[in-house]
Amino acid sequence: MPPVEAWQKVFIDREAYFEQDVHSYINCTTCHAGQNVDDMDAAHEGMIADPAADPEAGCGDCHPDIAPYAADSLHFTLQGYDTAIYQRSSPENHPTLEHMESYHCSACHATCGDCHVSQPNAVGGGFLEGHVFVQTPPMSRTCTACHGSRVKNEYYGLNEGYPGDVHLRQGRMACEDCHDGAQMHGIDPNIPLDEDRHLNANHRYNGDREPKCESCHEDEIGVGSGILEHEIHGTELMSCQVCHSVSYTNCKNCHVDKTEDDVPFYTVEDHWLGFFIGRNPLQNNERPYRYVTVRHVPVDINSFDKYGDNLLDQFLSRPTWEYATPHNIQRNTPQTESCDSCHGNDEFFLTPDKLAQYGLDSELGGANLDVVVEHAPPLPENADELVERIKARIEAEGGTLEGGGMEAEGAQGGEELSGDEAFWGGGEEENAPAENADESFWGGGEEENTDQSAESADDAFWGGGDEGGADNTENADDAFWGGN
Amino acid sequence: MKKHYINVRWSLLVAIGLLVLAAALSGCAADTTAPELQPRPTDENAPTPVADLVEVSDSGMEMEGTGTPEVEFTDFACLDCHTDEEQLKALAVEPEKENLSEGPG
Ligand code: HEC
Ligand code: HEC
Ligand code: HEC
Ligand code: HEC
Ligand code: HEC
Ligand code: HEC
Ligand code: HEC
Repeated sequence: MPPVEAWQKVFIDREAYFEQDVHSYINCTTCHAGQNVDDMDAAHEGMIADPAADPEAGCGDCHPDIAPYAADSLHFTLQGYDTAIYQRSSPENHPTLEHMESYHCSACHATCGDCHVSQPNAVGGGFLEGHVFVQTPPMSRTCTACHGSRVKNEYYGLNEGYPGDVHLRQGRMACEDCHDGAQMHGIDPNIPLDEDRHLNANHRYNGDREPKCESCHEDEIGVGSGILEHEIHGTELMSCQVCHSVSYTNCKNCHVDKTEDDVPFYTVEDHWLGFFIGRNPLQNNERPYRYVTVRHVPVDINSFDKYGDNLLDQFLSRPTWEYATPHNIQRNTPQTESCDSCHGNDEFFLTPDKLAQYGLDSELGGANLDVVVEHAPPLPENADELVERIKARIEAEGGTLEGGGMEAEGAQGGEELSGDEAFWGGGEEENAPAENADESFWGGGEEENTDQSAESADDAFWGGGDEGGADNTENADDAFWGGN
Repeated sequence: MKKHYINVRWSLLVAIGLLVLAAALSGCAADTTAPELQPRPTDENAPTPVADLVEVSDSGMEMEGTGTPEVEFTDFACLDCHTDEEQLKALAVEPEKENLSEGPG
């Protein structure tokens, strides 16, 4: 984020605010309290710096369809943190943990202002646009200012060696194109306006599965899609990310602490890029998948030791590898290069040795046993036959079958193979070690390179690409999202 | 993408126009049905309809009638200071805060 000086953080762009903003007819003191007098100290007496700190009192009179829900949203309550932390500890530890959270989580807490008026405190604050209430939060100055270390790096392609998400590169999509206002405000859009529209989720992965890949890709998935992998696996066996995501950031052993003057800080012992298919730790109707991508949780058994002993005494009642939805979707990935880059290839699966390799000894066992995959599933014996049947059906319907590595764009040099051999690629290739597969995939294909250059074209509006937070992100956003 | 400042700006101008008109006529307009301000549903991104803004003005009018002066912006002491770069530079205190944290947050 651009460093904002103290005076700038309170400097209102008079022209912009009064010309553009519907709120500018409202008196400052109506929202902020305090007094309309010249003396600063007197003016600030009783003032409320963030009127949206109590959304219902501050905004609810005029936004009754939003404020009550936003006040109960995960962004505002941070209940997802509580859920994750309390699940791993006994009730008698919860008060101490709550005390800990009051130091370490409040900077992430998002009020209306953090999305619509100011940059979040976590990046130092400062108006988005001189106190104008911005309808669409500019993603790099709001969303990814908080969702920085994982989502931002994945989506923008800042993880070395991995291009940005196809929805950014090809689709030019902003966070809001999938995560709409309703979701951000904790509203279930399927419930009519005059009823209680609470989303009612106490964690980001236990409510409805929104947004859904299927809502935009309905015709391209499952049976009838004409893509071999989709035809064979359907839509419930594994999450889309199992095939369409690439490596993402995993963290371990985040420790929190505070200085003598009560300034909170944290350290992360280790973080690495990796891709792990595990068994679904949250299998339910909304998320029926047997296999999903899993990510190592940043918390370890001793993360909160500075606040008390053994606070996470139920640590292994939840897996340390959690359901994950990485934001780096690609059409082609190393694990889909051929059927055998995934089937029978332990490299991409969270096998028991990886538990030991990446976690602490204390993580072996417990709920992790539900996630770990003993060995990558072998290609079923009847796969050949199934493929033939699908092919025959699709040909009979007059279509062409994609996938199966046949059209792994660029990576295969565009060779048109036919028949069984095309799928099974003649044995040797399939068994090629995964590292080589990676290389040919990420290095070779021209198509991929085109994508990469599309990425640098993006640089112009992302403000220098390497750091989404470079100081020209502001202009960048404007140019990209149509300015104001 | 979807920014509607232009529309808002125009709507605002129209609204102010109507407000002035309404203020001029308020003596004879005995409208006691203060329409409640009802922002549109969240999942709509249509530009602000002028009607919404007129409603704001109308309810303001009502409040004026009941003695709550809310419709006109009057907090110029706050505004003048917060738009005066020199004064803010003189008054603002740079917080001393260094970031002790390490690693991805
Ligand atoms: C006196 C009434 C009033 C209050 C109080 C109020 N708003 Fe608004 N707000 C409006 C109106 C009218 C609109 C334009 C119609 C719409 O989009 O709902 C609006 C629009 C918005 C928009 C869309 C962007 C725009 O400018 O059109 C945002 C964001 C917003 N308000 C946030 C807030 C927040 C946050 C608060 C509390 C700090 C708040 N509002 C308090 C009346 C109000
Ligand atoms: C001030 C920091 C902050 C900002 C700004 C912010 N977030 Fe969040 N977001 C969080 C935190 C913290 C959570 C986790 C809350 C929890 O799990 O309890 C979260 C959770 C989420 C979730 C999962 C929960 C849910 O409500 O679905 C999504 C999706 C999300 N954010 C998207 C966004 C998008 C899109 C934006 C920009 C429009 C954004 N966030 C802006 C801090 C922020
Ligand atoms: C509709 C309600 C509303 C009105 C009217 C309003 N503000 Fe604000 N103001 C906010 C919100 C919301 C924020 C964002 C707070 C945040 O996110 O930290 C804000 C932020 C600020 C900040 C930055 C505070 C900080 O600590 O970063 C200042 C200064 C400020 N407003 C001054 C004013 C002045 C002066 C006026 C009158 C010209 C005014 N505001 C009118 C709602 C309002
Ligand atoms: C809001 C709509 C939307 C959602 C939700 C969405 N996508 Fe997309 N997706 C798109 C658009 C638009 C494109 C770009 C299409 C193009 O360039 O032809 C795209 C492109 C893709 C592509 C590349 C297709 C190609 O032809 O190269 C893949 C793969 C993909 N999406 C997978 C997913 C997955 C997996 C999810 C869920 C995590 C998802 N999408 C969610 C709209 C969406
Ligand atoms: C078992 C692996 C696998 C799974 C699971 C999977 N895909 Fe795919 N997907 C592929 C392959 C392989 C291709 C085709 C690549 C090629 O031929 O270039 C593909 C292509 C696509 C395309 C491009 C379609 C087109 O017409 O060009 C989209 C969009 C897509 N997938 C979305 C999804 C979504 C959404 C899901 C989850 C519902 C999903 N995929 C699940 C492997 C998978
Ligand atoms: C990225 C991983 C991945 C790729 C690529 C992949 N599969 Fe699978 N496949 C799986 C997983 C995981 C299962 C579920 C195994 C289980 O149930 O234990 C599966 C199951 C199957 C099944 C059984 C389906 C059922 O309904 O039980 C068949 C048949 C199959 N795959 C064939 C193929 C063929 C043929 C290809 C190549 C065109 C392929 N797979 C590519 C991961 C993959
Ligand atoms: C985590 C980010 C986030 C928070 C927090 C947030 N919003 Fe929004 N808001 C959005 C997004 C995203 C949109 C949709 C923008 C778009 O589609 O252009 C939106 C849209 C709006 C709109 C435009 C009209 C509509 O209904 O979509 C208003 C008004 C609004 N928000 C008010 C508020 C108020 C009031 C609060 C606090 C009670 C709040 N927002 C909190 C992200 C947020």
